[in-house]
Amino acid sequence: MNARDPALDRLIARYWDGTLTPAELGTLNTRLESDPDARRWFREVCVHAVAAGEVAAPAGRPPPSVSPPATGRGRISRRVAIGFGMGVAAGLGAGLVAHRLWTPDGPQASSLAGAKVTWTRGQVFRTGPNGEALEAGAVIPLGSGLTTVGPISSAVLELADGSTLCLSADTTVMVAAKGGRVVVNQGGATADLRAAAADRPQVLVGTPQVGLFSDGGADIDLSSGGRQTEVNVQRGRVAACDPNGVRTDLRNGDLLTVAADAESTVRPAPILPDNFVLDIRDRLPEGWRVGSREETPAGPLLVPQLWHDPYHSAEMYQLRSHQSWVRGLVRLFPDSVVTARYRADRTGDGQVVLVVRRPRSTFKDSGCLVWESQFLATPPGEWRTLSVKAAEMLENKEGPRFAPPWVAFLLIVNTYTEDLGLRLADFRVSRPGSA
Amino acid sequence: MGLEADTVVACLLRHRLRLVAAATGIVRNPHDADDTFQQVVLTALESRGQLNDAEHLLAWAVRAIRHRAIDLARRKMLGGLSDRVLELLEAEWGDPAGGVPSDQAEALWGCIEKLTPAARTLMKLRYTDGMPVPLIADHMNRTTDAVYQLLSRTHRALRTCVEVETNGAGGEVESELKAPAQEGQS
Repeated sequence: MNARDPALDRLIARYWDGTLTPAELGTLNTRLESDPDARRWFREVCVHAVAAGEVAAPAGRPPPSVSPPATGRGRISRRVAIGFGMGVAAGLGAGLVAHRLWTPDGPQASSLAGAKVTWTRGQVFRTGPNGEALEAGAVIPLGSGLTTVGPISSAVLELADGSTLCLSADTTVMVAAKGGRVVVNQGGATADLRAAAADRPQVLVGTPQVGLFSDGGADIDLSSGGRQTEVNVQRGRVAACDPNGVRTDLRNGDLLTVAADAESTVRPAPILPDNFVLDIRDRLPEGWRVGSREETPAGPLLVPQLWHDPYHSAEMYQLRSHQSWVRGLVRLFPDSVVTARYRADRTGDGQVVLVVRRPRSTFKDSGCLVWESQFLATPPGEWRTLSVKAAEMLENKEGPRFAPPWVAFLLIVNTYTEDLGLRLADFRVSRPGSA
Repeated sequence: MGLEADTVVACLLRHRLRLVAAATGIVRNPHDADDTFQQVVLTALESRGQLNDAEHLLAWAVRAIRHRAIDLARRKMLGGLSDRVLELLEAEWGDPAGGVPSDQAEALWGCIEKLTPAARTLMKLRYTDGMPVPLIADHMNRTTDAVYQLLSRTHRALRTCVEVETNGAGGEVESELKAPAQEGQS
C-alpha cells in the first residue's frame, strides 16, 4: 500500500487523537478488518510513533516561544534508558525524598528560585490584596503565589527542577517561602513532574494534604478543594506523602483521594460517565464554592449567593460548584442534553455555564458551554425546566476550540447582579442512548 | 521446563519495538505503551516457568500487552478498535516473521534521523509530546489539513526509507524524505 490513502491516514490520525465519532470509528474498524494492507499500514504508523519518541529532537531547533505542557517534555530516550529494574525501583527512593521535604520538620531546599510563568490565558494574578496581573516571563518568588481567575483562565508554571504545572480555572498555587514545595491550595492542576536528577534541585508539588514526588518522572492531575485532595496518575509512578510522613505509592491509572478526615483511598480512576445528576440529597459536594443548600418540603434546593466574582469584577448572585479537574463531572457530546429544574420569583437574565476541558488533561485547553437567556418568573408551587443541547451551548466567545467529547469540571449558574429568587431543584446532563 | 530469565529478557528486548508498538496502537501514547511493556516483562519473568520457548513467549507477550493496554485505554476513556480488529492485529504482531519492520529498528531510527528538522519536529510534537493535530497546527502556524498531509507524507517517507535501507529496493529515498520537510517549511 505505497499509494497514498489520505482517508485512511486521516482516520488513523484522528483515532490517535481520540476525536473519531462512533460512525467514523466504525469505518476505521471495517477498513482494518477487511484490508490486510490497511492493518499493515496501521502497524507501521505505530512502530514509527514508538521509534520517533526514541530519537532526540533535531539539534539547533529554537525552543517554541510558548511551551505547551507536553506530556513527554524532558524525557530521557527510552532507547537509552531501557532497564527493567528501573520501573521496579521507581518509588523506593521517592518516598524517602517526599517524606523529607513534605513533613513539617524536614529540611528545606532553601536555595531554590521561585517558579516561572511560561504561559497565561485570561486573568492571572499574583496572590494578595493588590495582586498584579501576570504574563509569560514573570517569576513567582518564594513565599508568593498565583491565582487564575475566571472559567477559561489558565497558566503554566515552570518549576525550579524543570517540572511544569498547568493550572486550570479558578486555581491558586503557592511557592513555599523556603523553597522546595509548590502547593495547589485551591482548584486543579496538571503536572509534568521531571525525573529526579542529582544536578537539579528537588521540588515537591502537592496540596495542603499531600506532597508528591516521582523518581522517574510522571504526569499527574491534582485538585484541592474544601478539605479534600484528589490525585490521578496519568503516567509513571509517584510517591504521595502526607504531613505525618505516611507514604502511599501510586502508579499510572491510580486515583488517590484524601478526605477531610485525612483518610486516604487509592483505586483505579473511574470511567467518566456520559450522564450526570448533581447529588445534593444529603449535603453539597465537598469543596462547593458558592451557593447554599436549603432543605424544603419539596426536597433540597440550591440557592445562589451574592459574592464578588473577580472575573466580572462585580458582586453577582451565583452558584459555583466544586472544581472537579481531576475526575471531571461528566463527559459531553454535541447531543448531550443539559437540564435544570428551577423556579424564580422574577424574570431576569441568567446563564448556565459548564467549563470543559479535553479528556486528557495534559492539554491546557479549556472552554465554556454556555446557555444564556432568561430565567422566567414561576407561579408559586410550580417549577420550570430548562433543557438545552450541548451543541447549542457552543456559540460563545469562550466556546471550546477542540473536538468533543468535552469533560465538564465546573458548573456555574449566574443571575448577574439581580437576585431573581432563583432556586434550583435538579441539575443533570444526559446523553440519549447511553446507559 | 520453562525459560531462563536471561532468555526471557533477551527475547522481549529483541521484540521490544513491536510489543511497544502493539500497545501504542491501543493506548495511543508511546510512553504509556512503554510502561505497559515493562509491566509485561516483569510478569513474564515471574511466569517464565510456564513458557515453553521463544515463540510461545512472543505470543504470550503480545496477548498480555493487548489486555493491559485495553485496560489502560478504558481507564483513560479512549474509544477502542473492535475485538475482531484487535484479534487480527494480535495475530500479526505475534507472527515472528511479520512484515512490520520491528526487527529493523536501527534502520528506522536511522531514517528518522534523516528526516529534515521540520519533519522531525512534527514527529516529536506528535509522538513524544503527545500533541493532537489541531494543536500542532496552531504550534506550526499551519492549517489542520496541512498537518494531516505532512504527517501522512512523513510516515510514507519513513516506510520507503526503511525498505531501501533493509532491502536495497527503490532509489528515491532522498526525494521522499525531502518532500515533507519542504512542505513543513513553506
